[in-house]
Amino acid sequence: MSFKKRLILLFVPLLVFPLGNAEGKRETFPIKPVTILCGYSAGGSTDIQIRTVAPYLQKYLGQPVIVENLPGAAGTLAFNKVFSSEPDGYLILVANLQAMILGEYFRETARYRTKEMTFIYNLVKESNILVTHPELYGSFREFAEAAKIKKLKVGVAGKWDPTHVFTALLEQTIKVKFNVIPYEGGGPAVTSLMGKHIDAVMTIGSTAYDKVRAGQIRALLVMEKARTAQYPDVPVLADLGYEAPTILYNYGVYGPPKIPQDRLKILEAAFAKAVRDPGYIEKTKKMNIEVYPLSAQQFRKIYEEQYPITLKFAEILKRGE
Amino acid sequence: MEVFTHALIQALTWQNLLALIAGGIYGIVVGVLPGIGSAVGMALALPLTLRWPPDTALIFLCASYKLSGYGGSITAILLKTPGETANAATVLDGFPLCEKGEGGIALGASCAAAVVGGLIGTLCLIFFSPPLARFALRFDAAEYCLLAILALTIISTVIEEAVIKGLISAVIGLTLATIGFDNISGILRFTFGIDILADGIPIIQALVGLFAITQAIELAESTETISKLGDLKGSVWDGFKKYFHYPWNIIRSSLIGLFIGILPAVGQTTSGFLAYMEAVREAKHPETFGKGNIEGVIAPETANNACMPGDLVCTLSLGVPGSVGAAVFLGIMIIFVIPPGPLAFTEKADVIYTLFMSLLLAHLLILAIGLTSFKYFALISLVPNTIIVPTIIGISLIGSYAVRNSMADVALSIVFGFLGYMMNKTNFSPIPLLIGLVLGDMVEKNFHRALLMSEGSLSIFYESLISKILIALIFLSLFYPYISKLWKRIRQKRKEALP
Repeated sequence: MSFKKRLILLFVPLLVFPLGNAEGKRETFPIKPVTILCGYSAGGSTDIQIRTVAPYLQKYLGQPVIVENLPGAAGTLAFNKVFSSEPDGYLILVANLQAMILGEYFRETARYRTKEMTFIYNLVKESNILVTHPELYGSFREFAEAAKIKKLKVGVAGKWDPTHVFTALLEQTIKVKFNVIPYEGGGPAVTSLMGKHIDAVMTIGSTAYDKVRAGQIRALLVMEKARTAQYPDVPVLADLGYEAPTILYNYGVYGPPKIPQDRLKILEAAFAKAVRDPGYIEKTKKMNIEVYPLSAQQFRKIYEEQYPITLKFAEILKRGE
Repeated sequence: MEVFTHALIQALTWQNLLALIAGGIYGIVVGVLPGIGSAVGMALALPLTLRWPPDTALIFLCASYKLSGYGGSITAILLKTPGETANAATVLDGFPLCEKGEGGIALGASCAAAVVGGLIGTLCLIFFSPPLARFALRFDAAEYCLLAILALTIISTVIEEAVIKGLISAVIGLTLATIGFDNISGILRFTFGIDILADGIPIIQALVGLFAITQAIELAESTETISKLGDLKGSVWDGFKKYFHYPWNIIRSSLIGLFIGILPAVGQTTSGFLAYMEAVREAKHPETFGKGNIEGVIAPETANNACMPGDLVCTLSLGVPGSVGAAVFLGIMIIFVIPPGPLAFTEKADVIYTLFMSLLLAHLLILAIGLTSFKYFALISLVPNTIIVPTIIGISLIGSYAVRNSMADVALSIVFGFLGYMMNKTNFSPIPLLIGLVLGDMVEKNFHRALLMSEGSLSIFYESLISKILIALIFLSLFYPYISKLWKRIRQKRKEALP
């Protein structure tokens, strides 16, 4: 290439840029990589959800999408960071809605307000399930009978973790009291169950799925309104004649308060396209992820519905201390 | 047998071989960098590997996991800054050897340890996973609590010379271990409003401070080189050969490493220290340890390297994480739609066995890298401190930052650096502090959880057979010095009485 040609090429971007700006800010966002912060370590359930969708998001956003992990204090460090960041749309958060509500209620480290966050898009939902060792209880009825006679040990993924709240919901519904044992995550709780040191574990449906399929553990109950595709043979509370409120367990994407409307729309649209990408749909099918797309508006509505229910059980937990 | 030959062919395809070598080299780099542990290293490489075929990606990550522990020993020996928490025990004798100019020999021994310990661990992983995993499941809160108490008795062997100061250092470590969110009671303790402490003092940041930064400040006192001789004695190959002079140490340390490895809740750091303690205890001249005894490198390194495949025993055969690094590995398996647990062996057997073959081949890689490039690594001990010091500080603080992109972590490392420096100046060893920090958390958490499970009854601590054995071992370990003295006296009296 001659020097002249290079010189001309140098000016090309100068010509293009003002044109791009003239069309308005909407077309220019994003002009740099978008970072999605995850409040848990790489390889964890929240991290897996976002990393699965990230390549497709990148495709529709037209900019690299970086997943960054800031584990600590049950996710609240990351929640705080995004909450107090510049609302320019370049730093957003992936989180479980329940974890955010509970963090705000229970944790001293929480300095964010879930209500004020910009709800961008809901990606997926999960079910909480109660599992036991196959040699311990054959069905949920058996388990519930045994729970009336003695205080059963039920493992949860952590103190005030969403699984803890689901356990409280179960206690309230079937009117028993468990000996709730908090672990450092769902993995160690299931390990303890597999050694028959505890009676049951409240855990996430998809992480337990392969172990249930392999017969290492048995699913007793799905904490949902109706039976799920993942566990068609496992009853829900309504099947057994219990009446209980449903807590949704969903993973979505949030931004700091007051992201400009035009940028929010661009992000929302990119997520909406990404979750409908055939590649993503195929991947989630294989991984047993239940895609649960909700627009920004619907997502906020879900939050407003869920907040009082979660809070009710959070208060029950706190009183139980 | 057919499945193995098929897996071997698969492991030898050019992509997989390349992934193995690249992963191995990446692992050594991760290992050498003090702040970046194997788990963080795998997490950092994850986005890169997501587009690869599952077996290639898993081979890359597994090779980096395997070789990071080995890379960590290089800096532990040469610079007194363990690259991984697992290598902390290697510092005790590795660095004195290096000061004597025998860094090459120590590196050779650690290379042999990585190969032999790793092979023993990997073969057990391949052939005995199911029964080992079943054994591991018998451990729970009470047993883990007792095991951690047993491991705490290690401190007694490390502090032989300055008992009071050693105990003070250990108590500081145990006290620091109480900082953070208590998962059982749900209370945030002693964080003074510093958010970054909400999960306790991060071990990696403490390690970077206590070893890397402390060492850098100490080196900055003179412009000499680390090797006091200004020259090197003995080659890597000498060290490699010397390793095999201690078969009993090798067997014992491998077994300790494997045992700790298969237990999901105990990490590599503990295995290194336990093996070191046993080596000191069984030695004819225990007083030579800490002053550059090659056995003090062989024991922890063999144990570490046997521990890592041990971590994968429960991860692969049960689908439950065997360690922090293995938890990342488990998540990666899920992303690649490989069902962790027994189903992996039926539904994705080809991937798993290819991974096994690559793990075996990784030892050849260690051998190749160790014997060819380590003599150049050993030259570090001849580089003047004016170059070494800023390099250590720079690299280790970057590592400290990279764990969760936080400047507060860097500040924490610096605080620990000055703490370590002052401790060294006043003859307080920082090693008991580190052991206290690692194990204190484990003792307390499991003690609390065990009591919660038994609803307050202490009987849970002696009900199972394993608990009883562990209690016996704790007493044996505590009173061993007295017992051995008594034994010697009795023998001497008999000798005197005989003629």
